[in-house]
Amino acid sequence: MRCLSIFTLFFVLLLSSNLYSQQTISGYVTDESSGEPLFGAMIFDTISKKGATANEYGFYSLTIPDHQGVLRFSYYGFQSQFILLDGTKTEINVALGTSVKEIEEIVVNASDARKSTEQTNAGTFELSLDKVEKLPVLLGEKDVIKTLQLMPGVSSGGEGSSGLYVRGGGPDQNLILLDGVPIYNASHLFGFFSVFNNDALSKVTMVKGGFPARYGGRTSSVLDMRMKEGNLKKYNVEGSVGLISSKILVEGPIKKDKTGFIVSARRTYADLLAKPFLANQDNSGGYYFYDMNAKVHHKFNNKHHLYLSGYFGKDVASFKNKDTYENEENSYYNENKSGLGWGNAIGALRWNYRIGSKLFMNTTVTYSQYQFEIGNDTRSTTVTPTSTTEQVFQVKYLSNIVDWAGKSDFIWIPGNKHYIKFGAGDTYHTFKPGVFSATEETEGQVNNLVPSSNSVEFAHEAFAYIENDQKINNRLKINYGLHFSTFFVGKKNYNALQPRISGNTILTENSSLKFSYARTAQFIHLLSNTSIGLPTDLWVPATEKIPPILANQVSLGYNQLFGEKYNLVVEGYYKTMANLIQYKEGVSFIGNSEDWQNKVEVGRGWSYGGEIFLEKKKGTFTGWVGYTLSWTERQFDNINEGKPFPFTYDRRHDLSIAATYEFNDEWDLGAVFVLSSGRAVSLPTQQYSVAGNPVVGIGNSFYQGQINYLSSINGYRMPMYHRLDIGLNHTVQKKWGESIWSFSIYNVYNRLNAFFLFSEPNLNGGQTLNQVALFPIIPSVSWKFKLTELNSKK
Amino acid sequence: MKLKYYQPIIAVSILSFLLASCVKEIEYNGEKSKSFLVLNQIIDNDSTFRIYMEKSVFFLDANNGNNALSDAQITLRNKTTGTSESLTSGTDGMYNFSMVAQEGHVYEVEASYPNYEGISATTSIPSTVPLISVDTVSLPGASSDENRLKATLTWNDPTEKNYYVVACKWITPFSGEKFNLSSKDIAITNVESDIVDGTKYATLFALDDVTFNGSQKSLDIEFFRPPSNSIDQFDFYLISCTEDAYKYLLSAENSLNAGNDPFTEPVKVKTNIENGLGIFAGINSYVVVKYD
Repeated sequence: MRCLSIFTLFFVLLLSSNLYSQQTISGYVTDESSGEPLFGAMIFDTISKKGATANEYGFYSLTIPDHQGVLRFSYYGFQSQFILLDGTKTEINVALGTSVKEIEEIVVNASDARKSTEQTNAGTFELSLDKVEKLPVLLGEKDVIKTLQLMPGVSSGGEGSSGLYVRGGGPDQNLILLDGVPIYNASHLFGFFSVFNNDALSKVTMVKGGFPARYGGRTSSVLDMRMKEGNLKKYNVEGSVGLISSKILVEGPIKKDKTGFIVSARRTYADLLAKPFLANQDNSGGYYFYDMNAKVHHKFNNKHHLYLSGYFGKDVASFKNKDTYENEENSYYNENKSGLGWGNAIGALRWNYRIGSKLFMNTTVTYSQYQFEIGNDTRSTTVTPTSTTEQVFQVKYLSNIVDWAGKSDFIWIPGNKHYIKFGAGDTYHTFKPGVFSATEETEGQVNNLVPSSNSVEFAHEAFAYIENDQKINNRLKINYGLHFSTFFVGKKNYNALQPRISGNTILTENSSLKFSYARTAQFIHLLSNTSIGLPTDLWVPATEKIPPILANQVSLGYNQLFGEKYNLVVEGYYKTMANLIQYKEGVSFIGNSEDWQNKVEVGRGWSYGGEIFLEKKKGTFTGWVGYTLSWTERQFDNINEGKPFPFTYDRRHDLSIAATYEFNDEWDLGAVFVLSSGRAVSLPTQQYSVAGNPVVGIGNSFYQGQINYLSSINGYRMPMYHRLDIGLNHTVQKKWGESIWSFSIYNVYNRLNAFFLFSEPNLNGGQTLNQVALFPIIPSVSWKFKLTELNSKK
Repeated sequence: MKLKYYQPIIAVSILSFLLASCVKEIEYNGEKSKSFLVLNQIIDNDSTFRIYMEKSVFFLDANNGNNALSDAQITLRNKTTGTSESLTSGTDGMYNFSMVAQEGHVYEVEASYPNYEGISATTSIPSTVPLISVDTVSLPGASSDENRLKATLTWNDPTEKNYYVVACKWITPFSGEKFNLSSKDIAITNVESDIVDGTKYATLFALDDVTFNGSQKSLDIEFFRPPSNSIDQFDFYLISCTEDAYKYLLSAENSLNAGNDPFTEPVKVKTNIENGLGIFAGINSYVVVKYD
């Protein structure tokens, strides 16, 4: 409470400085061609030199001295607009066009380049979706997550993985938001592709350090993705055809300038291509995934906007086999079907209300579901000369999490020095962490061997927050706030007060120093196997026995611009994590119905390191170099004899180089090189005989067996990982729109990077150490199109 | 042959080629850890010490399981009485001492072998925890020729921290074999459990007294009774363990069960041997014999 009082006093004192004669101009900044809001557009009063920035809905509010003046509205890649203030205008809505004059481009580019030095929060960056399109990826599947993995401080789980491991945190510790709704499992195809269709996204922001108080519920990072809102001006159709999947996006106005929609869908077709090969076979199988994004946006007027958005995606794998055995008298038929499926479904209804020129409200109701299920159905038929007997055995395993949530967020802009956000909300969680059922049916008689259990956990997670982004003077900006969350599960209530503060000191026109401290709490855990990440991982809540994760992170960063082209960011961080969970030694993660709480240990972790990011943002040759030096360890009292050990995804060195070169308007080349320390795995060092219990022995026999001795859990490093990908894009303007052919080669020099290690006996009586690599050199080609002729005809 | 008959062969061949091409032998790039002296002795109350010694082998090297060291120098001390005994030769790595382990006494062992670092360990013999009762009842089996037996073992847990191992053997005129036990008792710390209903299966169950410290404990165990008419007796064991013995038995059992399964969490087997590997730990077993 003392902490809360200090913050309240701080807010009151700081806000009292804005009470003199001023006028407030507010409104929206949008893209002229589509009506999409321009998040980050800058509004600048050329007289008073005061400025403001548009939020994710394009809303801005600028308080300036009561005078006549000229406002400049600008956004990178768009033509700036100048509006003359005559003292009567308080609401100005501006639509910026994309034709850029050279001289203006220089001004705007300079402002854009300085964004990173002026931004308050450390460890925050915005991903350029253009980069996602131009960089080569596995099988040509452009993927936001894959590009994020190239940033310092962010690493992948391994070959092909779409998991994010940010500054030593696990994949569950990332708050992945799609239009403000959390997504639990962001991967398709066992983690090789993410669920996000980048064609449908308008903005991707990642926070890995200085978390603003508005974010809560996860401890390592925030990945805030915004879908496009649907073009209010004209129809737009985009699509692509790749080696494994195709996708399409349609957007346009339902009622021009009032209501817009966007729909995108994607499906893989490996199963369809394989079908002719597998037809009429006793053994067959298949795999596919699909996903769909949709959004409708309606503008009632300049004060009220309503959005309805949704995502639905699923992965399905199946296997079927038949056996037949016949002898002179009897026949036996056996048919076995197995299936595996997982997917997310989310929905959000959002209401934007501009209450006044200084106050903006956003109220959202959301639904999020993640489900994993695996099933097996075996039918056996026995035919004898006198009878036919049919027996059916079915098993099903299901894991499910459903969230219903509601929240209201407010933005209050009392003056140009303060940008205050506050809000509150509640999430109602329903967890089914592994429900197993088995039935047997013989001659119509059904026997529930294991009735479907009702192991359901319910929980409420409520929160409230307030934060202020304050400009202390021309050189110092701080963002400070409090996030309070409370979690009710069973008879237990956990409370977490989480202070956050970030600051940015402008050292020179081109350099700044940033610092941050954040305390975060996470009330759900992901229970996963440490060797291979699979969708069988269980989302489980904090319970009466298992407390929530609490983390503290401090970071310090330095930003330096070199001219308008180069940007250097150097950051260091230290993070502690309490109440992490991990399976006990010897536990098999393959689902069983034992209470998961009995199978885990609760421990702690810490992570520290340094990151360097050097980016060239302008010109025909652009790209970046990112390097991370980091240490991440875990400690559990009953794992590794209580001694600390490296986290599975501890990477001592992690280097990423991404570059694109534009030859001309038609041709551009992209390349990615990654190099990182090998993953930490547990590999024995010695073998020796087991000591038997003299009374009853051990294992299956007395005094038998060899123990594989581990000197430490995760004490061995897989070989270093490195890979080069290159891609070439050919863009041609057609009468009907735009055609882009993308040719790429994944793993150009065919490096077989280790995905998994195992040993097997060799002819010398010893063992051979082997590695399994997933992807050799893989060339791919994809074609993307954008139809614009539709609008010309209209 | 029509093309369609070739199609699956082609598909399987391509798939096999791709998978095979992605598996390759690699060099072990870590520091090849040195060989350690291994000393194994889990000693029961009122038993003579029979210490086994060997050298460990790098896990990729040839290992025929015969790494016994029969000419090591081993000194065993009873730190409670101050007596000691030394041996410099054994048979197939087994050193038979005349010293008898006694409840409550503390023992120390030191061993050395040329070119190896000397090793040492200390243990004590825990107090006996007697079984108050063992009640058995027959249960119907899955088929007419299968019989299951349920046994309830009851004992009073002392107030201090205690560790136990529970096991059951059936004794015939020809041999004694352990039963595969099953139980759903939450105090059991073995990690192997049935995929369907969470029942735990093991040849020995490990328990600590976190959930019943200082109170009476009844443990239900079940097992399939062998379809033999020659069973003479069932031996039910409650073995009181030192913490080292308990952790070793549990971790070794878990390690042997895990094998090289990539889906099972790795196990670091407990050792209390200073500068070496293995175990030197005391137990105190109590047995109740039930005749058929």
